[in-house]
Amino acid sequence: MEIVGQLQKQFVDFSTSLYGEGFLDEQYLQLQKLQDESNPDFVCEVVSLFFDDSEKLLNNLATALQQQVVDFKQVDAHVHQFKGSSSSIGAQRVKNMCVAFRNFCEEKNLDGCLRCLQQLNHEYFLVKNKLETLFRLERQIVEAGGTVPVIVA
Amino acid sequence: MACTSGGKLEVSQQFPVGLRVLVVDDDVICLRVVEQMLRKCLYNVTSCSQATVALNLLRERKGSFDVVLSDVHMPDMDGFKLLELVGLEMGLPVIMMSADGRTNLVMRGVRHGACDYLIKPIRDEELKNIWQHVVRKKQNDMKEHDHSCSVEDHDRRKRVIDDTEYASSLNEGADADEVNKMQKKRRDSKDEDDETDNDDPSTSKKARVVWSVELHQQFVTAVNQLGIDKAVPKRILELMNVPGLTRENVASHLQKFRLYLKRLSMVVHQQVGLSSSYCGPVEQNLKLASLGRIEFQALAASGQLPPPTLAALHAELSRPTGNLILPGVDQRTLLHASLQGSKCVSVDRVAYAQPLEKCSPNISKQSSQPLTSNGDVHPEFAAWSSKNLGDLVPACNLGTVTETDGLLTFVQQQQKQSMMPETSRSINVNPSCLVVPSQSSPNHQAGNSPASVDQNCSFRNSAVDHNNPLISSGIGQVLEVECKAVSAPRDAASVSSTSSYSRNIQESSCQRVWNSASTLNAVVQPPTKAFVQCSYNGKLHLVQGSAGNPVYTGRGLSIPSRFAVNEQELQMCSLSQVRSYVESSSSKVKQEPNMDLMGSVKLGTPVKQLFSQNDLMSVFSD
Repeated sequence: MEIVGQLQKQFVDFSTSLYGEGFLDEQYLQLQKLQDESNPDFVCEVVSLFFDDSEKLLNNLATALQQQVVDFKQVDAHVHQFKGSSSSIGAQRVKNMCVAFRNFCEEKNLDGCLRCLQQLNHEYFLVKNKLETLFRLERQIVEAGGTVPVIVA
Repeated sequence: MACTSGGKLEVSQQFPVGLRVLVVDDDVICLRVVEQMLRKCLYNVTSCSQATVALNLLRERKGSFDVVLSDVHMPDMDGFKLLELVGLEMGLPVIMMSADGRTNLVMRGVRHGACDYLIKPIRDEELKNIWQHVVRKKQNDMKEHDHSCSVEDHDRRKRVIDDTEYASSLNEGADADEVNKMQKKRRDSKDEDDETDNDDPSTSKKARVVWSVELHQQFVTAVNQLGIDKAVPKRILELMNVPGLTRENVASHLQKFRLYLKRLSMVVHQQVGLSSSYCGPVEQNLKLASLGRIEFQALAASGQLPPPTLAALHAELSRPTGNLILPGVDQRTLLHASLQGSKCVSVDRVAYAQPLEKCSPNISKQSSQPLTSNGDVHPEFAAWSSKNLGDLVPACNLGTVTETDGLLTFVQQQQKQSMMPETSRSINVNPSCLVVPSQSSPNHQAGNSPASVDQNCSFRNSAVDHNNPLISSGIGQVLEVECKAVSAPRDAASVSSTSSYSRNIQESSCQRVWNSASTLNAVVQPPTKAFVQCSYNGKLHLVQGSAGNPVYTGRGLSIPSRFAVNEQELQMCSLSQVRSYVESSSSKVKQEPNMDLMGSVKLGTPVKQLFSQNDLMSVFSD
């Protein structure tokens, strides 16, 4: 079926670009490997968890940085958490941003932190967008009767 | 992979399949990912998003897990603390995880006793090999015990290790015939040993001695007379002069006693700091000395022994030749005072889960606030310390010994160890138990419907609450209360009523001390619900039973029946021990709930994970 073929190609190209541009890393591939018949929606499930958690964290970060007296330890804790979760799903750019963010926290550099938060927000919504597109493509392929190609590193 | 050879040794063949892992991480994403990876390794996984819930789980179902994986940064408890507690109380290998891989953190992990430290994101290859830590730990424990343990025990444990080796070799595809031959030989030698055991009337297997309070008292008296260093079973036996008691009985009991003392001393060391392990107590001894008799009594009575005192007591305990300076304090009075203290205190005591450290500067602030415990000494401390004084005093030659509580403590501990899934954390206040998302429905069912661990915990707490005032009045009563609680668990009201208790789990290192205290006070409790869950992120996570049903992981229903069948025997032993102990304390304990659960487990596929704690502990049972 031509449509399926097209969709599949789209999917592969898109995935490759995501890896190439550093949005995703091999941890995401690991997630794919963990998905199986007994856990058919594993990746989707974990990614959704990530979205929920991240948005909460970003809100918390914003709040924390807006305090009169900023508690950098608390901010750092949030960022640490974010780093952990983003690395668990392979959201590489988000993770890297967290690393930078933590440095500013250690230095208690409020400006640096605020800038990082902005960038973090940006990176997060970018990767969220990309992943949603990816899932959409997968759905389309399946609906068109095809199978989703497996990307191997 | 599986090579059945007549049914008995199937378990070892599958190792490390079915390894029982507990994962603790507040990051739900990571938790889910690691959990899935572990599943892929064919391990039996339980996940928990809260450390305190995890700790409860571990305590309630001792012997249900082989290894613990824990995150370092958690909101309710520091991962390193959990690590230490688990190591101290359960002796399980703990592997730390963190997104932070800085050397100093990893160093801390190692210092606190972590078997390994994994850096997130965790790869599945890393998880595949975690079983090695289980084996290694068991081996090391064995070596430790070798010195004072009897030959039989050693052999029995060695067999466990050897079986594992078999398993690994089997997994690697050893020749079937060879394997069969080896297994037969092993079984034969096992049988031989068993036969010898049965024939010899003096082996511990035959004569099941119940170490009652009086008996233990005699034992401790004898030990103290001889001096802990010089106390050999033969001489102890002579001094005790108990007809029917054998040298072997005394030997194994002595071994346990030594371990108990050692544990206490470990706690002390941690409390006081390794470097100052000898200076600290000395200083504190002086402080202690400055306490007048009345003050001491009063403090004990009010359940507010100052931590330095406790630390000193611990230190003394670890140095049996030391002398505790308790000017004019009559042991009996002290005990009595503290007993009084514990009796008077109501359920309010539940809230006292205060770390030792916080207490020290705040003695003056101590008051019986029911819920928040800022600067309150856990009353358990008082009771416990007095119990330890009971043990301690003989060494210090302070008048007559009223060691009842010490005995209770010790004996209880033995019971607890050699038995079923553990129990009362005397006052284990677990805020998280109730903080855990309350999607859990208040229906508990022995095995089928989901209920959350927090209910389990809170119910457990409610059972536990009543323990403390009753400990002094005897184990029987406590058990009774617990049994009652067990038989009426579905009461949502009782669950909710405990919610008021669960406020404070403080995170300082004192928690360790307290917890070991409460460990020592632990009482036998019948196993609880037949299900296991931890909830996180609003989801109820079920441990998958073999049929995919949420079942009681602890006693092994959920483990595929490929595993060895000695569990039944084990449980039988444990159960009868409970019964005999309970009877000897002339209690009116309702055994039904106990029996039911045991019964159901017996009827089910009795299974035993190769490295169940119970297995090792059963080795100690008289």
